[in-house]
Amino acid sequence: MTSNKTPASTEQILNSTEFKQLIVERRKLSLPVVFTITVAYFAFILMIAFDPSVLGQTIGDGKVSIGIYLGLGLLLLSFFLTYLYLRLSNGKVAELQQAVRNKFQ
Amino acid sequence: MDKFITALSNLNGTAVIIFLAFVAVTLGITHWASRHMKTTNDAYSAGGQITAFQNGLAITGDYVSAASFLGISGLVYMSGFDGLIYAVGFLVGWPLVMALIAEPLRNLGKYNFSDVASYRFNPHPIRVMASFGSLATVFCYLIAQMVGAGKLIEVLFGLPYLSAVMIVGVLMMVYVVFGGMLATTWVQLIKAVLVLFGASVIAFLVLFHFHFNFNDMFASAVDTHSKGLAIMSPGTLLKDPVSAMSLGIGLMFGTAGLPHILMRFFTVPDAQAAKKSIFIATGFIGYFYALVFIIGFGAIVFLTKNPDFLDDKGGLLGGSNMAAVHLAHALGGNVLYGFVSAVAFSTILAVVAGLTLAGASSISHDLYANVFRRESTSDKGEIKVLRIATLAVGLIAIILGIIFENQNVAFMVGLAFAIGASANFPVILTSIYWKKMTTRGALAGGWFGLIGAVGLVILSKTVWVDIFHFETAVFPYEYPALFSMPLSFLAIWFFSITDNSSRALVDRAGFDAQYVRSQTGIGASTNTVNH
Repeated sequence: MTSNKTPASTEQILNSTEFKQLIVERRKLSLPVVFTITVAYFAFILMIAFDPSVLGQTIGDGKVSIGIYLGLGLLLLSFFLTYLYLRLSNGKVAELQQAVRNKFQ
Repeated sequence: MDKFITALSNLNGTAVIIFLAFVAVTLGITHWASRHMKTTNDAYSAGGQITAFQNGLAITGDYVSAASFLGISGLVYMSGFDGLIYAVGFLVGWPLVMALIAEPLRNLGKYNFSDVASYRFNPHPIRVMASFGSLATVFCYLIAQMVGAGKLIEVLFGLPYLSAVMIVGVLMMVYVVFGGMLATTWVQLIKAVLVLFGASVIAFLVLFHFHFNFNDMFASAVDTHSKGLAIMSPGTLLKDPVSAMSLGIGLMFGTAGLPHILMRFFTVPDAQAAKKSIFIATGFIGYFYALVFIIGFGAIVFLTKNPDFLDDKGGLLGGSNMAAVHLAHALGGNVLYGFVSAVAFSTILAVVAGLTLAGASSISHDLYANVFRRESTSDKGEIKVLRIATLAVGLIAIILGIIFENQNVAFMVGLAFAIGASANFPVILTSIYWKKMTTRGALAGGWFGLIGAVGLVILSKTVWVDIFHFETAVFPYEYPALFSMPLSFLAIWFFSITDNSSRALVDRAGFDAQYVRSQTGIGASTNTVNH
């Protein structure tokens, strides 16, 4: 927990191209993940709240309703998004992070 | 009643033997862990030496409570689709934790989320607020688990409620007092493996019966259930749009505000490992909820018309929460029944141990070491306080478990998530990302969120009418998060932008250094400890 960085070095890091790029790259990754899961989940909840009969409709001649497919789809989507974030953040974001560390640490 | 007694006498040695084996192994681990518990780092974060995979399993163990396993399968058994609403709500928070919280949290903190919330703000008042948020979440969750444990053991082992609650309370105190985070982690790990295995076996047997044809399984459930095709669509769980959205918000954002879960990110060596453990946990937890959903539908098919498991009125023996356990009995005989009973008990034990550690460490690390002693305490002194705090939290949990014997378990879990979403999550998120936030804003947000969530619940039907016996509820909805979470964000915003104090200048000036550390990990707690 000991930090021997002076305020000047914080400023240097903040203004470095590597750090600025890191923020941009991370944002490109985290915002779509947050947006996708929030919109998908609240669409599901709002359908339950305002028009539950839509979710109750069955598909084809089977007995499985749209709601069940969507719910299980949301479980898969959550898993897929965490996988995607982990996978992609190990690429460019990790490289830039390393670049900042190498330069300033 | 005769059938109930028959069910009890059917109780075979399998459950007792497996449960005693679980207790013996976990106590052995606790004994081993106690010899490694020398520093506060060992006590709170197992020395940061847990691997990403182990931590992913341990998070699964912490997160998948008996309320999920027994409660959701019981809810599916009763009304089908509605159980899926909880299952989905419990999982959708994880991508948010992954993308927004995990890395900065791990980079900024040392043991718990209060470290992060107090990083650039006036630490003492912030830690007091954060520890109240932690304790409120922990105790609501603990009540749910204690009550669930008592009821379950009452039915499964024939022990009186009181002694069941005492057994759970004493065991969880032993794990945490002697073994700290290391023992707690291994209890979670073993329990996670057991519960995933048990649920897999039951779900496999259900699907095997239908030759792995899902449509046949659902069709058979629709034909069997008294509600027919209605079990395929949203039912009576959420009575109105406001309740639906309020529960949804609470579940999604509550995950990011559960202190015992956030604490687990500090048990791994670095932020990279923390992210990896979230991915592993999300996989296991999602898999588990899919299994629970199948188990619930299996219970509809195999239990609804099976007189062995029904009481005189046609309800399940021991209540709908017993659906998974009865299904195990119906499909796998006495051996699987005993196994699943023991697993359910160990599930509760593991979750309460994690909660107790989170609550007690909030007392010893935040209130005692950082506020009361102003950071001038030794490791030895802090660990001693942690142990005393553990005993206190455990005792209070036992007492609350006795007082709230008849409280609805699912409701208390929902409340814990609502407090996490309203009091803890807004402060964590904004303190990491919003430069203009100040100490005053953080305090206002945390307290408004906490008091708002708890206050609205007190004014709702569940407490105002059912416990205080007033005529009508002041707050007409069941869940508070739709109102209390925005209230918290609003308070953070308003009391920060209007803050012109000298402290506000310090708070805002501290953001840049915090931002660099949170994004790059430079200066982060590395956990290369010298023993």
